[in-house]
Amino acid sequence: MSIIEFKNVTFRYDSDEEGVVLAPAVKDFSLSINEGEFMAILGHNGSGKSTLAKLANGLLLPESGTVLVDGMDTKNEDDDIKIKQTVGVVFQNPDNQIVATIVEEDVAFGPENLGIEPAEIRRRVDESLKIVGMYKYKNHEPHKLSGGQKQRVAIAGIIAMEPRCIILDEPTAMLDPEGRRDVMKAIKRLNRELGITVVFITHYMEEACEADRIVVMDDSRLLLDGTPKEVFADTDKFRSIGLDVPQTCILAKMLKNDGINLKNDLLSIDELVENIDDLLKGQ
Amino acid sequence: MIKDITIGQYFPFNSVIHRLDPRTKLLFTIVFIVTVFLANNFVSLFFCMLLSAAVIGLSKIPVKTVMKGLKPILLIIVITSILQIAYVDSGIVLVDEWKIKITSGGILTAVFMTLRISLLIVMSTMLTYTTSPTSLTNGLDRMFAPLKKLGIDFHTVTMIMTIALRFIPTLIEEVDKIMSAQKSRGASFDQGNLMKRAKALIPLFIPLLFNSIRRAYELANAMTCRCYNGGKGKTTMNALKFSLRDYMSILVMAFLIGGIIVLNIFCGEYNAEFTFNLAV
Amino acid sequence: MSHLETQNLTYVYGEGTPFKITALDNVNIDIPKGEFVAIIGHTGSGKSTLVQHLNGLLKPTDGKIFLDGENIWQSKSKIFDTRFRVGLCFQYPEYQLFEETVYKDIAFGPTNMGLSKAEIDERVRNAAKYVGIPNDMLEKSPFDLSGGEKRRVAIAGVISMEPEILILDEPTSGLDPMGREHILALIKNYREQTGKTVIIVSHSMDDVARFATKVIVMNSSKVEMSGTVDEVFEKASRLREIGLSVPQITEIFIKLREKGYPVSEKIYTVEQGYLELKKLFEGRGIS
Repeated sequence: MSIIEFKNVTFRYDSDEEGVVLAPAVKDFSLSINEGEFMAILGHNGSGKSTLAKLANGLLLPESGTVLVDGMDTKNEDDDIKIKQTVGVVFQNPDNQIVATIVEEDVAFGPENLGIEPAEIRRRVDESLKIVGMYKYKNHEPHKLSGGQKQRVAIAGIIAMEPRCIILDEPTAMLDPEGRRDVMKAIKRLNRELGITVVFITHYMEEACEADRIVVMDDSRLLLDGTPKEVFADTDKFRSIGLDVPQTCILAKMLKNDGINLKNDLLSIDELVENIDDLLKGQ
Repeated sequence: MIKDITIGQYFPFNSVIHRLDPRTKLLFTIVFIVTVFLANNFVSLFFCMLLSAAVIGLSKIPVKTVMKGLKPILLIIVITSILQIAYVDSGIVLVDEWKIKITSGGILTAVFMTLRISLLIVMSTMLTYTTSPTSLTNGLDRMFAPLKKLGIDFHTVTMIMTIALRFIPTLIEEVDKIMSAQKSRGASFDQGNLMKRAKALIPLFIPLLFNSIRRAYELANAMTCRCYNGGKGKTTMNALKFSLRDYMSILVMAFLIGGIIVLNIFCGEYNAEFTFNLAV
Repeated sequence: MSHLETQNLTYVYGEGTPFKITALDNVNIDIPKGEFVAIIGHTGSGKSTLVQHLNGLLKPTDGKIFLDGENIWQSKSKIFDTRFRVGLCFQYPEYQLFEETVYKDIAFGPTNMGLSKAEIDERVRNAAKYVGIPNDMLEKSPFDLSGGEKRRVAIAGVISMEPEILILDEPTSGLDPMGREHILALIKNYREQTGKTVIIVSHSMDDVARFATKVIVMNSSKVEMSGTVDEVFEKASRLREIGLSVPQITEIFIKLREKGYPVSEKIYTVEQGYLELKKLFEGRGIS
């Protein structure tokens, strides 16, 4: 069952001050995101991947084509709240998503807007903060937290609405390695333990490797779609559009070009080391 | 460190006063202000002082901290006192030399005014000392919710207040960062005459303005994604509920107003000469 | 002789309050002329505070900073001078652009230096060239540019002061891989052409391995280790302990060595790794 479906979607931003019509940010794009999936969307800046996030919950509406969220057309205003509750979006800059001056009050913001009963909000807030590992900071002021902590609070704020799908638009781009690790851990939990569909937009390929499925955007279109191993196998195509490939893939590819009989789908360090070890031992 | 600035000067202690419903505290503060203005004699004022002393005591906030709140208005107190002493001409003449004439009436009026202003300030700072900004805006929101029927949407006002409180520290940090960056390119913010200094602020304010617009835009998106629709049908996690404490406080308020009215009638409008004679 | 040097540099925030934090604790670093120095460490390790001392933006609580043997805090005019000689480009510098045109923004520093119009013009055009800003972009508003272009304009705004030492605080943060490559390439190019000292603050061990000639590792307000890339990356396990990591490729070789293969651990780039493995396979007659 697909939770979000893009059908031949085209979108362009309003023309600039001089009235020059801009090129579409998303062009004739079709994609079906399955319930329970952990999907990564890769692409360089300006490839249209962030626009996808905003199209997916009706923040932006397509110029042509349709976006269906759990069967509801995002163009249908009556379903607007339902759609936004089904598909939550977390953005890049954690500072600009936190509304309240106390962590737990911020997490309560979504459910409050939905008109949930106070006792139920309390339960959801506590649970969401526990999932992202920020429960002990519930009475803290957000501006005193680190970037990674703030981003986890922002994620908790979305979880508290109990969405079926969460889209994260480059949530780690502004974080340091430690913050990135913690946020990744929280995101993986959402999918693996809570079964929430996760769409993770990023340009860090090592993070994309964690997903079940990778969609690569280039020039406003869908370029590749497959498992990490399938997608990264085509290292040349990947690098030609300005994206990184895991160093293991590049190294394996170089050795294979020399006729060394490595496997085709090596992604992690351990896999590569094992394979090299096997080859050498085989001698 | 700039990050440690506390906004709204809230002191998070666990006291009876802290636990009161913010609406009770708001109402109490308003009633107290009215009462202080109603009080027209020293006895009534003394009554008010006793009450504020009780509130401070119950709040567990050190008296020294409370008194610090008076510092910014010290100058106003001094000026009004001087004016009262100079212009009020009643009661016993104490000094009458050259052009200076000081009367007992002047001194007493000055003392009365000083006490009055101090009481007003102390009790309003007590409100912010014992109520977190969020709970205060929450209280305001609920208190003025009925105004919606009159077409006044107070929710928007409290939402703006909340967001402002949330973003003040973020913006302070940003100002700090932009200033450092421009200083690194040789800008100086503390040299030259007024014109020059004003001009030196352009490299600070333009980026700050642009960044704030960007932030506002992103925040609006994030709020929309979290189903914000102007507060329609919104519930609150920490629902405000009147408890016994709150009803007790309302009783105290009633007694306060009643008491002051009675005292005003009983003691009459304060008469400088009479009071002075009593004191001497 | 050392070019830029700190002696027992200590910096304490909020002295006398409950929030007292020692951001730098007795830091001694020594940066010779012409080096490409990388300062690494996790957030809160003190690396940003350190670089803000190097151009005199922050005044040390204790200790001294010497530029060409002279104490930078000797006099007030000296400090102003230091800011031009040690150019510091902050993290996310594009958020500090403010002028109407790209040209004027790049000219801000040189104008503050009190240079003549002709000199300013020359410096602006030179700096623009280093960062790859074409002439026709100079008259545009900086707010109309793309994220990557803005970043390059902001870097040009520091380069235009022609500092003897260029410091960049996390110059690639928030950029996509292509943008990252672009910025790193221009920094490398700038250094090769001018021969000037460059210091970058970074989290990315890959970048450090590829470009730096000297590495300073900061941890909890102190210098944890410093030396050449080889010397620092040798201590991979210690780096991991303090929240840093070695490049993925280095990790592969550390693991191969653990398995008993005679490979070098001083492998930091894919090319080096490829050659090393090729040697290993050829040695065993596989190719």
